[in-house]
Amino acid sequence: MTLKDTTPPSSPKRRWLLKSALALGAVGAALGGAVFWNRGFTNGALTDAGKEVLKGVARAVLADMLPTDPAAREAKLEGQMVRLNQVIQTMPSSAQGELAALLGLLVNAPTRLMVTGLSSSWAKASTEEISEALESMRIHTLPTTMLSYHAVRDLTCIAFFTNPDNWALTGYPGPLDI
Amino acid sequence: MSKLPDPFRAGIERGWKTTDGALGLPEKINCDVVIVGTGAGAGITAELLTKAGLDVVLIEEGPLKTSSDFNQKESEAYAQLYQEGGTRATLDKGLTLLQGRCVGGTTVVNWTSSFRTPPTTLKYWQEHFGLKDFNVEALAPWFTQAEQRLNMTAWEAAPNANNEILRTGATKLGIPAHVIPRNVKGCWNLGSCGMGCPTNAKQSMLVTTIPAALEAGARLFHQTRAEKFEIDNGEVKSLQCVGVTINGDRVNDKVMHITAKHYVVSGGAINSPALLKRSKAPDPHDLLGKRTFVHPVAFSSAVFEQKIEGWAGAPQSIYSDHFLYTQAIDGPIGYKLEATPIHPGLTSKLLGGMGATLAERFKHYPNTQMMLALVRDGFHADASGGEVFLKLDGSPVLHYPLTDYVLDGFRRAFLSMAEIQFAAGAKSVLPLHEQATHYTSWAEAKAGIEKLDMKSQLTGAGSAHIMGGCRMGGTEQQGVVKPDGVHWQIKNLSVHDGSVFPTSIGANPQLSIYGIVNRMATQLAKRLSGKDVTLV
Repeated sequence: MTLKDTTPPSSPKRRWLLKSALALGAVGAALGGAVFWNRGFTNGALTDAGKEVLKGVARAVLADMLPTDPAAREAKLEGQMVRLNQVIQTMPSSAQGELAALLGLLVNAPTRLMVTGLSSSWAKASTEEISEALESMRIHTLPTTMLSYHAVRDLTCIAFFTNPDNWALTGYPGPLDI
Repeated sequence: MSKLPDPFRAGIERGWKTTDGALGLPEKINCDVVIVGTGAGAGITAELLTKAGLDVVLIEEGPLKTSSDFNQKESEAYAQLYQEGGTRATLDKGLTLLQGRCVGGTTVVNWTSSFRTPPTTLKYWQEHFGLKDFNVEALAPWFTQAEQRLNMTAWEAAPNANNEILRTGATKLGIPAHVIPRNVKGCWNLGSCGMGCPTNAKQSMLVTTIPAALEAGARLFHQTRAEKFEIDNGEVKSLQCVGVTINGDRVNDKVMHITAKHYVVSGGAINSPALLKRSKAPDPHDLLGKRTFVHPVAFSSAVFEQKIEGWAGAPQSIYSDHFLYTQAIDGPIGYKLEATPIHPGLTSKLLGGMGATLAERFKHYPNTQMMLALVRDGFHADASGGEVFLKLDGSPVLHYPLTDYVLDGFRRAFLSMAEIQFAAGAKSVLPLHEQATHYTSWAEAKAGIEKLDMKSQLTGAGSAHIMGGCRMGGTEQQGVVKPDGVHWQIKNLSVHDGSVFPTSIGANPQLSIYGIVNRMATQLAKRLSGKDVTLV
């Protein structure tokens, strides 16, 4: 048996990484810096642009678990933004940077349309329109589009379901007080 | 917050030498041995070296959190006790990686499952990596000592429902399933092992070896990152460290220089090869960071008529190795079956779905059982695992493509888990795959799983077991380090952690690390001090 433990420097994996780096660079250049025009997270907090995306995502992902009363629903979404800030602040700076760029990609109109298919902004889109957009991203043929879905979906869920305020919705009684 | 006694805080009050690097570090210190890390490999090494009378310094990037800090909440545990705030993942994000980063390392947050390295794994290492002394008989006494030191015994209480279902379903199908040995003492059966044990029952490094080393005079620097070694002429001259915030940012430009007679790297897989890469350690055979392995994990949830409440009770108490041995070790990939504890945050990731689908899945949450399959990677020509790269800021990232070979194992694991869950009485089964739906019969599940596109991103995958990247080898062409852990090209540097494994283990790796490092550290203690020491 030949083990791949003596892989030469010009291995396929390295070529893959190089190609990926070049592809990412090309995409970045093509976007003309749009991603960085409206970053989603700066100075340790979500920007208005970042909140717009993540509120929209929360409306669709958490849909039936959010209150039906409009005021209570809005308060729950605001609470989710507070919790998201807490979660993101504990990430390493490099991960915060990646997330800021992704949120930028999702909020700026040209790239939003390209990645999500949403023609109107996250704030103006209906929950049904956002659900449809996320659903198409979830099972998209492009791995990067699926990745974008997973990133915002999982961040939304982790922030929401680790929040003790929301445990009652799940049947989890919370830990034993010792 | 736990109101129970906290022996670690009591130790600090008695005068243990601990320093928070975020608050400031000395410019220079000197010692006999500096150990980078405080997890499984570091803890065992620190206890043995201090027993030999050596002056030991421990460097930990994560924070010092002890039992009275552990409030069993995912919200705080992931942020404080895990690498990258719980967000560590592979380069393409195809695998979520749960790895500890705190004083005690992953031993603080693991689920306590304690297995010796399987004989088949050791045999493979002997045959392919020149590790002649890695046989069952030679390692047995080292494992025995670790088991005694850390109180590893088969779990005697009744398994929780989440685990019992694995045994019930497997038994009905004629598949052997056994009780898991756990490293606990006076366990309260809370089920919160993944968030730090609030009762100090888990015999992690935080409550065993690190306190023993501190009691013997070792110095601990936490929130202190080992940036790089200064290496010259095949010898480490010093280690440079910096203070960091909780999310890993440097607090200032100040650097602490540590000089020592010997340097031990125990930062765990991913971090250990990354430190050596940052240090531009000699790597004449281009091995460093390569053959990094995880046990890629496939998940399958099932809804039952009865309450399961999989968040309560010992997280893992039943396992089955049946599917590790239904084919040759270098044939189609094998897998080990265990249960997955389900707290709400982790569950939201492992159930998948959004909108009405997510709500429906959570409606059945208290009645949901979660099974997992640890896929044994690294034993086949098509299974070279992953590779650690450095980002521009020097932090590491693991590139780990989920190959067709691995994903074939995922499909078979989905089938095995679904069949066992239905045999145990499941009303429906849901594999973690974006194309899967709740299957309501074994026949439907079998047909549905066969049709799934087994691709990364569509197939949910994670791992809490990361191994390799600084592998041992019997010759310098075969390994970064020698079988005794000493670097092949750097005479005063050893690696003592799971990164020395040349393949994945095929079982939860903590006891493999304890046992193998026990032998390495005992030999190192003898070499540096002339004294014979033992763990027990």
